[in-house]
This record gives sequence, C-alpha cells and structure tokens, in this order.
Amino acid sequence: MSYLVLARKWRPQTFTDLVGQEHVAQTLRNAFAQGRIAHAFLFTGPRGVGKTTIARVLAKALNCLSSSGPTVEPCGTCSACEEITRSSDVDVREIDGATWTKVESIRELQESLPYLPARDRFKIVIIDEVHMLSNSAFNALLKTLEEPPPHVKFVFATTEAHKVPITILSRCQRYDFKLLPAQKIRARIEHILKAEGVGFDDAAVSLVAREAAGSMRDALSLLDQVIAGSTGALSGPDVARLLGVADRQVLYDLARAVLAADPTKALSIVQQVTDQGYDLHAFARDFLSLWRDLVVARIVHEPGSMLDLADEERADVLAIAKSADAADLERLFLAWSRTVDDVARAREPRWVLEMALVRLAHRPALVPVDELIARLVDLERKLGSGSAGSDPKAAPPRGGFTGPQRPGGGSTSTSAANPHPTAHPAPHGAGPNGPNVPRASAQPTAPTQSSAPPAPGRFEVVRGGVVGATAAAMVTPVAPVAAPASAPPAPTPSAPPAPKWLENVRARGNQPQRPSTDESANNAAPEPAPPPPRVDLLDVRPAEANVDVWASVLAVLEGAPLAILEQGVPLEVSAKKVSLAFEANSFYARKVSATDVQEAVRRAAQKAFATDEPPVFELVTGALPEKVPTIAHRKELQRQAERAAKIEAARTHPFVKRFLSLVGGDVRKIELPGDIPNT
Amino acid sequence: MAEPEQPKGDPIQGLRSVRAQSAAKEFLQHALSGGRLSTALLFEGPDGVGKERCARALAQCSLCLAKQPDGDACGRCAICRAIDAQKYPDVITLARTLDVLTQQEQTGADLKSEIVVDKIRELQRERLSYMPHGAIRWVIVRDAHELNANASNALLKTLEEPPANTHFVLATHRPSELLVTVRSRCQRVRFATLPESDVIAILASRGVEAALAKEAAKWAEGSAGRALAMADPELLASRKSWLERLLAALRAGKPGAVVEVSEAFSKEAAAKEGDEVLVVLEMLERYFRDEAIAAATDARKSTVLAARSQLVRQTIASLDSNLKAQMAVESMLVRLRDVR
Repeated sequence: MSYLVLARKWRPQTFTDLVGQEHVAQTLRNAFAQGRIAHAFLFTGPRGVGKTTIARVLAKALNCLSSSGPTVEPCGTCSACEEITRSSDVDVREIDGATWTKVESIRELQESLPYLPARDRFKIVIIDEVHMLSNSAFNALLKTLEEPPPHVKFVFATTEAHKVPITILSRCQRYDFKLLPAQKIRARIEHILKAEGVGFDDAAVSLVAREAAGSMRDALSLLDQVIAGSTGALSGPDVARLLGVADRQVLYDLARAVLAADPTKALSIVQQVTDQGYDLHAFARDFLSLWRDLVVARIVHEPGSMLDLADEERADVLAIAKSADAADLERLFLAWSRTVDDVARAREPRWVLEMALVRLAHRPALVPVDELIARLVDLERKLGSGSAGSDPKAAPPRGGFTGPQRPGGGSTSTSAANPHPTAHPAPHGAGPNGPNVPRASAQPTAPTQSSAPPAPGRFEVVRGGVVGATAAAMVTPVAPVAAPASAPPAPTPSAPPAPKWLENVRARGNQPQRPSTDESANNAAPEPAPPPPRVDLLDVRPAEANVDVWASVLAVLEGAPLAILEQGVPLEVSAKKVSLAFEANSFYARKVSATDVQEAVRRAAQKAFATDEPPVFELVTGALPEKVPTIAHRKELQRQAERAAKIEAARTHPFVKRFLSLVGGDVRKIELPGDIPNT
Repeated sequence: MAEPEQPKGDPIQGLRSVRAQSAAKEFLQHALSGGRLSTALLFEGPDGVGKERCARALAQCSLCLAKQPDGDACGRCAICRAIDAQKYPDVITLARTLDVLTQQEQTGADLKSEIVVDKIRELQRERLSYMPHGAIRWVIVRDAHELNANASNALLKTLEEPPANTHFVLATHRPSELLVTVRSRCQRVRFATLPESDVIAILASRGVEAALAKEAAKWAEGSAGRALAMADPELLASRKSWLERLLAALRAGKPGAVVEVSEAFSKEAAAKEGDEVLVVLEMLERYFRDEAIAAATDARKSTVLAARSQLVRQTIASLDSNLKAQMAVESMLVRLRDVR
C-alpha cells in the first residue's frame, strides 16, 4: 500500500474537526437546526481551504443513519458514514466535473435521479471542479437544479465561481470559503505532528505555516515534504533548507549590500543562493517582504505586531532600517516589486535578479524636490540682482544635501520607463528654506543687466524613472529657445573646399559610416561585416562641382516642386544639358520623370544661363552611394552644424554652468525647440 | 520503437546514475526508505538537468527486483532495464508528443501544441482504471506546464486521490505556469543547474567531441539539454555570428542597419527548426549580463549594461506573447541604442 499523504489522512470527517470556515459551519448548523436545508449548495474559495472536505461532511450529515433525520453531528461509525469516508456509498456520487464535462455525462446522471436512494436518506451529487462543465452541461442541469426530486441534494465545489453561469449560481446556496489565518494552520500542524509522533520546534512550524499562505492542503503537502526529507525532529534550519527558503540572515546581508551601494557583495550573495539551489522566485518574494518590513520599521515608531518577526530578527531589521532613508526604502520596495514579477517569468531568473541588484545598488542619490526649488529660487534671486556667475560661493549648498549626485545617477532613467516629466515646481511654492520669495518659478526672469547673457531657456525637473522614486529629482536643462550664434549664410557661389563627404563616397563600403558613440558595444563587439558591394553604382563625383550652379538654376525655378529637385544629383548643369541622377525606382525619380517637371527645369536653366534655347534634360537612374552631392545633402550638413553650435552654446552658457555648480548634476540631454522627443 | 537520432547516453541505473542534484536525490531516497513518498511529486528546475531521468531512476528504485542495501536500484535486473528502455508498462510517460497507449512519438495531426484533456481522459480510462502489474505504477508527466487549462483541471481529482498504488511525477521548468490548484496537490522537489563539468561529461557520454562539448556547455547555463541542442558546430557558429551581427548593428546605430539585420535574422530563424530568435536573444541577454557583472564597480557602465540586459529580457517575454520576431528585434535594437 502506498503512502497516504497527510492532507488525505487528516481530512476532517466532522464539523467539529474543521479548521477555520466557521461562518460556513455555523450557517450549515443553523440550517440543520431549523430544518431549512437547501437542495443545492455551491462551495467556492481558494485552493486547499476545505471545500471538498465540507461537501463530504455535509453528505454524512445528511445521510447519517444513527439519527432519525439530518444531523450536524454525524456519528462516523454507521455504514453510511463509513462508506462516504471510503467514497463507496452508492447514493453519494462524487463526480469530477473537470473530467466529465460533457452534456452526455449530465444526462446520464439525470436518468438515475428520479429513483429513490438505495439505502440512504438522500441521493447526493457532489460535483467537484464544477467550473469546468461545458455550457450545455450547465444548461442541462438548470431544470433539475431548480426543482430536484425531494430526495436529491446537489453540492458543487469550485475554485473559480466566476466561470459558473449566473443561472446556476442563482439556483444554489453559495458559501464563500476564506484563506486560513497562519495561527490556525500552525495549531493544526502542531496537532498533526504530535499525533504522528514527529518532534518539531516553533521555527519549523511557523515556517511551514507561513509558506502555506493560507491553504491547509499546501501546509500539509509541505509538511509531508519536510517530514519525508528530514531525520528525526523538525528544526527551523532543516525546514528552510528542505523548502528552499533562504535564511533570513542572507536576506539581511543582501539588503545591507544594496543600501551600501556595493554591487559586488550583492552579486556574490546571489551566487551563493544559486549554488545552494534555492528557489530564486521564493527568494525574490522574501526579499520583497523584507523591504516592506524595513519601510514599516523605518516609519512606524513602535511597529509591534506589524512586523511578524522573531526577536533577534526584529533587532536586525530595526538596525538596518535605522541606517537608511525612508524615501529610499520605499523606492527600493517599489523597484523590487517589479523584479519579483520578472523573476517568476524568466527562464534565467538568476540574470534578472543580478541585473536588478546591479541597478539598485547604483541607484541615484535622492535630492528632495523642496530643496532643489529653494536653491533655484536662490539662484534666480542672485541672477536677478546681477551677481550671476561672479561668485560661486554666494549660494552654498543648503543643509541636507550631501554632496554631488553619483556619477551613474541619471542613467537609471534610460530604461523602458523613461523619465516622467513632472509638473514644473512652481505650484509647490517656495521651499521651507525660502520664505518670503514672491513665487518660485521655473522660468528664470531675464537678467536685467545688459552684460548678462540672454536667458538660456526653461528648466525641467524630471523624476528618476526606473526606480520609481517618490522624491528623487534630476535636473535636465533644456536648450535655449533662440540660438545665440547667428545662422551660417547660405552656400556661397564660390567653389567650396574639398568636402568631407567626398571621401566618404569614395571609401563607402569599407568602413563604418559614423564613429560609434556606444562604448560598451565597442569594447567587445567585433567589427561589422562589410556590406556587399553594390552593382552599377553611379559615379557621382563630377556632380560635386555642379551643386552650386544647380542651386542657382533652382533659384529661378517656377512650376515644379523644389524639394524634389533638390534631391537630384547634378551630374551636369550647363547651357547645353541638364543631367540629374536619382536612385532608381525611388519616389523622386518617378516625380521627375513627369514631362511638366522636366519642362520647368529646362525653362529655369534657360533663364539662368540666359541662352536662346532651353538645354536638353536627361534623367539618370541607378544606385546612388549613401552620401551624394545634392543640395538637400548640403542643407542637411548645414543644419547639423547649426544644431551642434546651438547645443554647444547651451552647454557652455554661464547660467547652465552656474546652475550645475549649485545642484551638482551633469547635463545629460539637450533638446532644441522642434526636436522630436525621444520615446 | 523508433531509433533515437543521437546516441542515448549512459543508461539509467538507479538514482546514482543521475548526475549532481544531490539534494533532490537525498530527499527522494530518504522519503522512499521512510515510506513517506507522496503520490504526487512536482519536479521543478531548469530544463535539461535530469528531472525526467531522476523520475525514471526513482521508479526503478521502487520496482527493482534486486535492490541495493542503500535502497537504490540495481540497474541490471529485467525491470530496471525495461524502465530505462521505456518499455515497462507500469511506468507511463505523459507528454505532448507521446501517445498515451503506445508511448510512441506522435506526428502530424495527432501532435498538438499543448497537452489536451483527451490525453488525460485516455490516461484515466485506458491506463489507470486497471490494477498495475507490479507493486507501484508511475505516471511521469513531461513538461507539465504544457498541460492546458482543461487538462490540468481534469487531472486535479486524480492527483489528489490517485488510484491505488499510483504515483505521479510532474516535471516542469516553468512551475509558475501550472495551476495553483495543481501545485497545491504536489510535493515539490527542486532541481538545480548542473556544474559545467557534469554538462561536459553528459555531452561526452553522448559522443560529442570534447572541444565542442566545452564550448556548448559554456552557453548552456548548467543545462545538459540546452548544451546538447547547442552542440552542433554549424549551429553554434551561426548563432554566435548572429550575436555578433546584432551587436554590430547596435554599434553602427543606423536605422538602416537595424532594419536590415532584424529582417535577415528573423527570416533565417523562421527557416530553422526550434526557437532560434529566443536562443540568440538569450545569448545577447547573457552577453550584456556578463559585461555588467564584469563592470559591476563602475556605476555608470554597469547600470547601462544591466538596463540593456533587462531590455533584452523584456523582448524575450514579448516574443512569448506572439509578437512578430522581426518587429520585436527591431524595436529592441532601437531601444538598446537609446540606453546610455
């Protein structure tokens, strides 16, 4: 005979044996006492809290032969009770609703219902996992369920009542089962262990009760597991090892490492935990509950029963919490709660843990928003009174701010969760340190002195994104609205010097087009494979000299889209012939193949060269190199140069420099007006 | 029975022939000798670390004709050999790809994408409604997370109160995908990743050449199953070259290069069997992870690299939800480029 698991061996056989679910037992007792017994019951609730058990006890209560009618205290010894316990009573049918889902099964069942029970008082039909019945099976039940023969009782049990049609629900008396409190599970476990003759200590029982998370069957499955795996009495450490639950001390060490910004230590702990074969998902979950405990310990003066910890553990938690900042702890809890989900899904949970820990250990320091605002107001006042940039000591950092942000600080905001721009700080008003300042505004007023440079633009306070900080602030200066430097003039008619792009055109295919800004990929990534050489690549070098001439032709163009013709490579532009090259089959090539466009070009060229005859127009198509001598390309280069100049001007602007020296950040990104935001 | 495609490796001869996994083996042996082995076991741990092998070894221990003094199976008696050869009638394997009755590989229309309820019903009707031949009958569910909702539900009652002398072993590397109602009925046995030396030894026993075995084991994260899948010189080279091309596209930082490599990659992956995209992306995740750990003390660099590793992980998760591979890879590369 194989082993009977504890959950089956210790299945309660009477209402008095039951643990928890008093509200159900009490209601049933009252119904029996008053003789108001329904003909259909629906038991629903989480796994392992007693639904099937109560269904069977109910069957005994209804059918027990030792009393003259239904009784709340079945004897357990009469033949009906015994047979129900053994699942062999002919009048009590327990059906696996998930296996017999079809309507045929229900019809078969219904055929037997009109006949009186063979021996018992009632014919009882228990359908477990009833949510799995098919729709037609449910519908076939409806009539019977509403008006069953007087000798028939139905009991349904399911974990998923929402999958049961409302027409069924409305015909049943519904009982919602609840998760069991840990104390009750603990008491039951102790009772069973004593009866089984297995020694134990408190820690062992608490651990099993905690891991069961409110389900008695889970508790007993775990108990089976720890009894089977240990020799002699159950002890806390043994149970922890057998259940794969990490020792609390390891969790504390990890929390200390994260708080102390020591990723190396944190990674070595993960290594240790993995080597010991712990369940990493459970580990991540336990670590989350530790963050919760730390937050509670930090912000609640007398945590009392809010911390469900043994005494020495409580002392450790309080000590760690004391050394940390409340907002920082909240942020870590939030960040870790996301990691737990990822760990559950990942095939390599270890990597997920490691990467999350690396980022958390390097999280940016927190700077209270209030303080930043106060400093901004200060800065504004100083600038307003004309002392801008003259004395960096004029606005010393205020109390509470402990040095510059960590170098890696801002980069946490670059994950999928980009920084969320928050409201400009104005509504917060002046910080506690800046009373009597009219109104803290994010828009610095223009300097009054003529020697002061123009206001560089607006400032945005953004939150550190990924760690979900409540008060972590980063400052991103936004580039000036107006460029300080005047835009370079349009291309001059004189012959330009040998341009850079020409080299690129010649060297195309042999080298990367742009130096990478990506250091990490650079370090280890191999050189990219050279792209395959193109066939019939047009030779566009002669066009270089023609760009300016072509621009002067386009200057007098009428009746054709300029933007399209600017894309053409002017292979030849003379009084005799205009030859333009386009990428084969491109949108531009198709547009230019229209005769009215070509006519317009010829008229413009005739006007520009002041000749009698319009020149011949030739459209050349083929493969173009990547960088081509066109007006459009030249304009693009010019635009980029302007942009770079504007960005440089913003970066070196005295106001920005002064601001950075005050708040201790660095410029991560400069956006110009009209830039497309990076998503 | 069809000839296996590759050499079968060492025969299963009791628990001692299962490599590493000392905690799991110790627990099982202990439970078996103490008569407290649960009738529903859940073997969870990475794929390809010997869960099913261990289940068969356990079956041998319970049925062996000439048990050794320590309770382990002899590995040589008729029953042990029959279990190893998967020909013993009381050790039933339930798997998506196996027929319940014949235990043969299914093909064509019979092959479903998950374990369907009909299979469970067939098991209950055709295999479990009779008394077992010997003392104990075993049902080994391979990749139990492939049980669909109906099948899992149909198994619930049987798992909780199985027919006499019947034991279930559910093996899975994705325990969180099982119904909680299934998990709550099982005793969990955890399997750890294998040390690299064991992975190499397992590959060697299957006739993989030493240098290749070493290289494959490096990428296999302690899973002999994955190492075996990697131990094809051409495949390994192609995967590594894709990893390099993805990194190169990332480095070049051009939209054109990104689109080009994503398209070529997903096309080639689609032409191959199995989940090439997934495998290469996991190599990419691992690449960033290794780099991040190497740079752990450099706050800025390690944060960026960790963020990249996480981004690849998110992409892998989105692949599971049927997003088109090319789009997923494209958007991943674009976003990776922006992480700095």
